[in-house]
Amino acid sequence: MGWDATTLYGTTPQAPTWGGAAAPTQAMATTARSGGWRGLVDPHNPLAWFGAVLLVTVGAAGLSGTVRLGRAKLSAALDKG
Amino acid sequence: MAVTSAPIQGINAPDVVVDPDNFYKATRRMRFAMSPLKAISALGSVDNVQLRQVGIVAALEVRVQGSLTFGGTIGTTTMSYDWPYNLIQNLTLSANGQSNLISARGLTLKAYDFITNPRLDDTGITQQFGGAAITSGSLSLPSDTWGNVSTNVTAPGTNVAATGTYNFDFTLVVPVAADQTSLIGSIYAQSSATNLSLNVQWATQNQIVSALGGAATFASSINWQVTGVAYSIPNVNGRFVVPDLSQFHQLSENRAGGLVQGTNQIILPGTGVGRQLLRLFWNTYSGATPAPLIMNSTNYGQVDWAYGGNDTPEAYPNGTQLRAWNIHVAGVDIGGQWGFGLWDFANIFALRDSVDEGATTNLRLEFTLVNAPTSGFAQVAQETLFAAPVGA
Repeated sequence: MGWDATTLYGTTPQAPTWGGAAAPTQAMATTARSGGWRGLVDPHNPLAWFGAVLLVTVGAAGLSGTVRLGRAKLSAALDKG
Repeated sequence: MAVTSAPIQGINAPDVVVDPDNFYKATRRMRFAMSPLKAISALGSVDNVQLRQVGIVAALEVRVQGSLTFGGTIGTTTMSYDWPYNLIQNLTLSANGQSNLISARGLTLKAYDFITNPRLDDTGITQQFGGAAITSGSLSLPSDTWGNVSTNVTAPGTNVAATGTYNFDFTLVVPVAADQTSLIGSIYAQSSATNLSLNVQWATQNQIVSALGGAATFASSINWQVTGVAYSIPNVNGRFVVPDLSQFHQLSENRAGGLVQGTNQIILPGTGVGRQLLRLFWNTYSGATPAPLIMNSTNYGQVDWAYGGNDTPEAYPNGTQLRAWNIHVAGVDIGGQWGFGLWDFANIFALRDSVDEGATTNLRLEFTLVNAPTSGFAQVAQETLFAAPVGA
């Protein structure tokens, strides 16, 4: 060996080395993140965390609104009675 | 250990194995016409060639030949410094989902050839340059003809002495691979899914003839031809083997305008993590009719390259010293006529000297111009290797 870009030029392969000492090909360049729908919930994906925070925030606000609305309706009903 | 590859350079490929050792032993060099000799569309137009999908493409040779015919009364007719090599104003090569792997002027390609090929030497070859005879630094070969009729010539920055038909002929090498030994950076072309596209932007008449006498006429007949240098993909022990194709090779040129007297800093475009800078070279033009500034202390003060806040790994106090070092590295006087300055990180020991762009933010070329340039601009070329993202 020795006739690869890393040895000759010190290039940084963007891919994990697989299968021993052979040079990786460009097609192997991947991130640590999963693909497809798994990628969406992968903890390596910053979007997953953003989504989680968004869900908690919006969800809590929605719940709070519903509760207040319920109380208001309930209160109105009591007044009529 | 040989490894079965996934799709190569983003192209779906038959089952091949990355095995440089066996590849070099078994492959066959091939040289064939990618495009036969034919007339260009017209000056100022763009010609395109779809290259043949064969083997591992390592280089292209572009031959340009033809004639310029001056008639009427010649008067003051002068060729510009774009003549002859910048007849190709821009040559671009796109392949396997990567656009502009090569994007450079003809002169830059010629300079690159002289810089990287130690067998080339222009010393002792007489040419006219700027109205005077020179015997070195012309970046021409005995096989190159810039145009002549008897003793009259069409030469850069030189008056055309008489009417006549001036024949010219020169060849440029397009460096697809970073070096022709290891073939690092070459292109996998053995697939109907690949797409290799070569575009040439031809100069306009005004770009190559800076002044045409009032009663003079001009006509041109220009042909071009593309020859490919490719390597077959051999079958060793029942498997197809290829060299390391993990990198793309890029020679990209940009024009930086607005130069001023004093220090000029040119931030290199397109740098980033995963890129390895092999060479950085440029020449500067000044004047209403742009002429290259010779690399010497009359024109240049400090020349260096820098990154980060002010990290300056290499510097010379003036252009004369850079020119001297460039002759040591390139073997030819690239700065003496065409005014090139070169920071070479690959000629001597690329593994040690090449610049990892991931560790050098704001990578930039710096030079000091002694005099105020007139409409000054620099043509800056950078040569890099980079691992491409997964193609479509």
